[in-house]
Amino acid sequence: MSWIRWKALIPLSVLLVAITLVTILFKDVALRRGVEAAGTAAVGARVDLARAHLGILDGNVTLNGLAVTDPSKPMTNLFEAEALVFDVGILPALEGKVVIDTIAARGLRFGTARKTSGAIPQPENPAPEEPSAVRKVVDDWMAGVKVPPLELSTLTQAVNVAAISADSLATLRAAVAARDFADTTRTRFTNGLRALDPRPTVDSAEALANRLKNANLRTLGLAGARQAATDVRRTLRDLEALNTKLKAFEAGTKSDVDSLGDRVADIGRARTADYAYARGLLRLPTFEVPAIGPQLFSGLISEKVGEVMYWVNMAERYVPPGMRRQMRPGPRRVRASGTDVLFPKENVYPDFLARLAELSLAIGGEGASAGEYEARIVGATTQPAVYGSPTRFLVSRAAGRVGPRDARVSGSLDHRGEPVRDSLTARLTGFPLPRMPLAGLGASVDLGDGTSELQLARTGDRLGGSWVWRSSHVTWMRDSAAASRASTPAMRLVEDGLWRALARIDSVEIEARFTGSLTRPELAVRTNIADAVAGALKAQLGEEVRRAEAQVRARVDELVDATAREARAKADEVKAQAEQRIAEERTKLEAQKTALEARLRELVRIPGIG
Amino acid sequence: MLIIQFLRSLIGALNSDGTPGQVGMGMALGLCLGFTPIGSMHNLGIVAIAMLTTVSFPGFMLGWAVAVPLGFALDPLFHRVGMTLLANDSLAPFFTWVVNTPVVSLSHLNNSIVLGSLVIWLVVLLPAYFLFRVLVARYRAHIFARLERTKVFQALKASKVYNLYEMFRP
Repeated sequence: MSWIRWKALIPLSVLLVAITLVTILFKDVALRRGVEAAGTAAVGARVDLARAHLGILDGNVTLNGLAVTDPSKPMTNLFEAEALVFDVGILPALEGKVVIDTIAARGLRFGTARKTSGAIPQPENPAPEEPSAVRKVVDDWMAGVKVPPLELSTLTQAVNVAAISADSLATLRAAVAARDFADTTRTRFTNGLRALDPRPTVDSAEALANRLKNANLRTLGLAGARQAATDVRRTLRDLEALNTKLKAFEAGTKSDVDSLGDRVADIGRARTADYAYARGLLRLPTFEVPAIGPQLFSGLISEKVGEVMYWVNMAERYVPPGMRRQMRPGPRRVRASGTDVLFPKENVYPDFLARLAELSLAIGGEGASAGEYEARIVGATTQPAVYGSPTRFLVSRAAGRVGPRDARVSGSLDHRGEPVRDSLTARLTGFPLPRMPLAGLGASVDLGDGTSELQLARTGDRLGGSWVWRSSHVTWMRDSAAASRASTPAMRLVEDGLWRALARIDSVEIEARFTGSLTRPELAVRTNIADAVAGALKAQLGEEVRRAEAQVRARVDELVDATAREARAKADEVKAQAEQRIAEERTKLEAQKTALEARLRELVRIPGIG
Repeated sequence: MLIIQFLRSLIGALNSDGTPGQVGMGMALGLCLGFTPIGSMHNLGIVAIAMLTTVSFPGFMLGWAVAVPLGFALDPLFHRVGMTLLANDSLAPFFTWVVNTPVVSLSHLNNSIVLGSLVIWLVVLLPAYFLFRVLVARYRAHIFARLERTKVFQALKASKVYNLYEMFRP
């Protein structure tokens, strides 16, 4: 019997032809869906594609009507492209890899409005590598870094110190903790001394020394003298053992006393914190220039810096460094997707590589950004260690439609190994800058046309950079609701003073600096507006604020003084008592030791004893 | 209708000697299609083997049908087994070769579900073959003889459903 069923060759061939035909027939649909699914997963918002074409024989891919949603603004596209044409390598495709030799783009537009929302449902507990997890990290940072705005409404109100509750003061907790620890230290000292029990040893030594005070060979006899010498030596050994125990006990007690001292010092530190806390409760304004900048702009600027952080973090997730194994979700299918594990290797094709993209971009319309742009991207890859070179990019404006404007964005992503190094420099000159609300002041400043400069450097998990907005033709605007904010004549006086100070400023510079870890950098905002606000506030309110601060401090002192005093007194008492008792015991012990040593010296002079 | 007729003629043509061993091996091979994701490249090879060798093709289809729900249910197990193998350092050179070799990389063996399900199928292949062989032999000896005499079976035999059943009879 033959094992081979030759007649099945025909149906098998038919099956293979059918599979091939279906593949050819549906390859464009599969490509379109693949691009949409992969793009949506990568960006964290919808990616739509009108048409896709895969030319298998000539190795080219054309994408038409690509729209990528901005994940932070679901009704806005990050960019749209009328057509993108890729020359794709055939050989890498046989390895399941995408290697693009050249890219041509037509009709690229940025920040266009969407007809429908591009938001996608976000999982409640996303995996760390998912865009929504990155977005959550950035949102948490933005929530934490925002500084409450300047609060003018409380300035002219009577200071209500009754709002400061004793329960919420850290000083009281610190004082109670110190007092309790003093009691514990005292108990531990008393129990320890009782357990040490030096009295019998010292008394026994004293009795022996007294007994031998005037003894000699004649009164003791030779045998008695020998016995006496033996007794003295044994008692001296007992005293030495007691001395060792006393030293250990003294060290333990000293440690407790030092710890008690730390707790007493904590009371002072807690009081300083309570002053700041109570001051914060009353929302008194600060006159410190470095603090005013964040109060005015931290909300707006944290959102802008947050966007930068989001993309820097995403770059790390999609362009992981080194040759280590990489994991990513498997392809979508009806059943579980599983996990794809990539095994990078040198001198092969990376999983994705765009060797060179030279793009001529045109932004249409009559807006400020309208004009011709050129972009050049070299070595964009998801496996830089495999490719062996960093990704570099440069975007510049070739010709603008309106006015003398210049734009240049350049940077690199070097993820070949640890530490990862990213850099970005962007400078836009002559473009309209955003209108910046002055948080808490009921006004905003329209920066008009100016310069925006962003510099970013990332090394490992450290991020540093600055974003500067400069304009010399600003317009100040009071909010329509401002009139209702000034509810009292005194407050109106303050606001008017502030407004006059601001209106005198023609040139504005706002600089945001961010440094620190990649996920929680510190944000500092410096602006010349803060100088003017601080000066005006000082002139209008300096004396009132100082008086209010004094009232706040007095109230805190009143609430905590008695308990803090009691804690300190108790700590001092315990410390003194411990030191005194230990000194007494040591003096007694030393005295008996000295007396016995003298007796022993006399005894060993007797012949036959030494 | 045309497709059904095509399948009937195809299966009829392929259903040659239906010994319990052939049906058992057909079913054991069919498990692969149900266990592993259907679009995987190795499944093309399995289908070719099932068609070109004298294993029972209806048995192959039956094995596939039985294994599809099992495949869904066992996905978490496949994932764990696959991840364990993919994370094994001593196997890394092999997977590096798989992932970076033309055509071989299209097997998608670096996916935890594909790898885990394929390995588990390979492990159960021979035990499944022997089990199915015994079950088919017992079915033919005991159940089929009784079934044949029932009125329901006689009625079914006269209907088109029997045509389908006939594919599995000895």
